[in-house]
Amino acid sequence: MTRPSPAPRPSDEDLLRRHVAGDADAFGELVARHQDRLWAVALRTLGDQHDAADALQDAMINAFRRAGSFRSESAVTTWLHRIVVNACLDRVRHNAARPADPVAFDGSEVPGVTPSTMAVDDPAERTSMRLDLEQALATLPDEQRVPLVLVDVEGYPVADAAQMLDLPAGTVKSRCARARAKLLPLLAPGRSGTTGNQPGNDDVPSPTTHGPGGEQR
Amino acid sequence: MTSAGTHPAPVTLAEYVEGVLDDDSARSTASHVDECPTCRQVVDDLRGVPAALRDLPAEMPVPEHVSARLTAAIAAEHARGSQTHAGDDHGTVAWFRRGVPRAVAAAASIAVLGLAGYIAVGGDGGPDEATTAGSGAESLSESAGENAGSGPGPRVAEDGGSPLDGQMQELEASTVTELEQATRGVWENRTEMAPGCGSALADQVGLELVGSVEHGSGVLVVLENPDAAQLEGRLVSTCGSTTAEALAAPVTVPVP
Ligand SMILES: [Zn+2]
Repeated sequence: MTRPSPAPRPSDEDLLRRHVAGDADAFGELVARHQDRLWAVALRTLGDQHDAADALQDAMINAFRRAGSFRSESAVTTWLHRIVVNACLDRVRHNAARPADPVAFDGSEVPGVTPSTMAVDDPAERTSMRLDLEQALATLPDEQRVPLVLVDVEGYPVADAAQMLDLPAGTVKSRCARARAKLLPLLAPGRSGTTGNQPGNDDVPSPTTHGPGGEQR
Repeated sequence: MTSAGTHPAPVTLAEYVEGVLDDDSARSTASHVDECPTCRQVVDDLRGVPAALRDLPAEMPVPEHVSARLTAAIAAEHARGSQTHAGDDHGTVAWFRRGVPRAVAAAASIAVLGLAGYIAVGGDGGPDEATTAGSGAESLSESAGENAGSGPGPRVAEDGGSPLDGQMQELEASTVTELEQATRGVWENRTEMAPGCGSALADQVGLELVGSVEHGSGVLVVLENPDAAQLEGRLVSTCGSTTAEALAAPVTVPVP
């Protein structure tokens, strides 16, 4: 196999510079290059396609307009990523403040996640588990999902997440902890039942309470 | 397993793993976990959760319709920009100068940080109308419809005149404290949204630039007035903004 001759590919920073200089295609190319990554961030943070699409669009317009203030000290991807996260946070706050919304960002609990019923022994099942995990993330309340995604999925330090969320670091940690407890049945479906159906535990439903198909192979 | 009835709840174990239990609870949980293989297993599983989340693929294929929306929105921005002086380095600032919807969007997103009572500002379709060209406004109309029995909130576009003034007063009432708090935060942490962010503003008003931070949809630029031993927090549209793109009245706090 011969090496594919690489077309000279402009760097992200080149594209951004061209955009600021008036190149009509540069920004679109930059977005096309990173939209799958940024979509993942938005979708996981918000847990809802509709909200994620709105947030991603807000973010890209914001980035379009602010491109002139970008400085090359940070990577363009980091900059875009952060703009998307901020757009998501705006949307969460917006939704949380809606009187019709039952779940306040700093508020109440919602029922736990339906645990997976499958083992995780082979790669195909691991893929299913991953999909379950995505779905489970989406069902967490905003107040837990957002910190968990920032910290565990996106890898922001707790202190950074706390600053973004305007919450004490301890609160971020404890919300992450609660969220992890809810996700636990997905990752250890065979075992979580052993502690999952005791008095006082209403946070993580036991697999046995969720219909047939719970038996292990 | 005589302790079977007293296993700590998974949430407690998770808080134990995360180190956020108070000392007494942490001690009793630790001693239980030491003696209880079942809970030790749960603890191990909990420690695996962050790793599993970190292993999720970084990318997810963006749906076609979302990608199309982005393309359309970007094209609309270009159309707007070419009416002013794109190509000029201040092109982005010039777009902001058209400013009212943009400022209202910022007001809306900031207002909801404060009192939920101000949601009338945020639920009215402002943010999307201001920042999107596509179907975003539809989605907000839906959510506005859910809001209350009183029908859709005031729609910025229909106001015609200058909705900003009224909105800004509400904004000020609800967010002055937050702006002050954020101003102190910039002083303490010396954050900068980008190097030199806010220097145009500092030059314009003749104060020293302390730093900047993203605040709502705008940028909070913090300036120091050494003579008065005061910090000024000014919320503007972008790092390059001057007072012409103020999104809120400046706040002042004593230098801590
Ligand atoms: Zn135990």
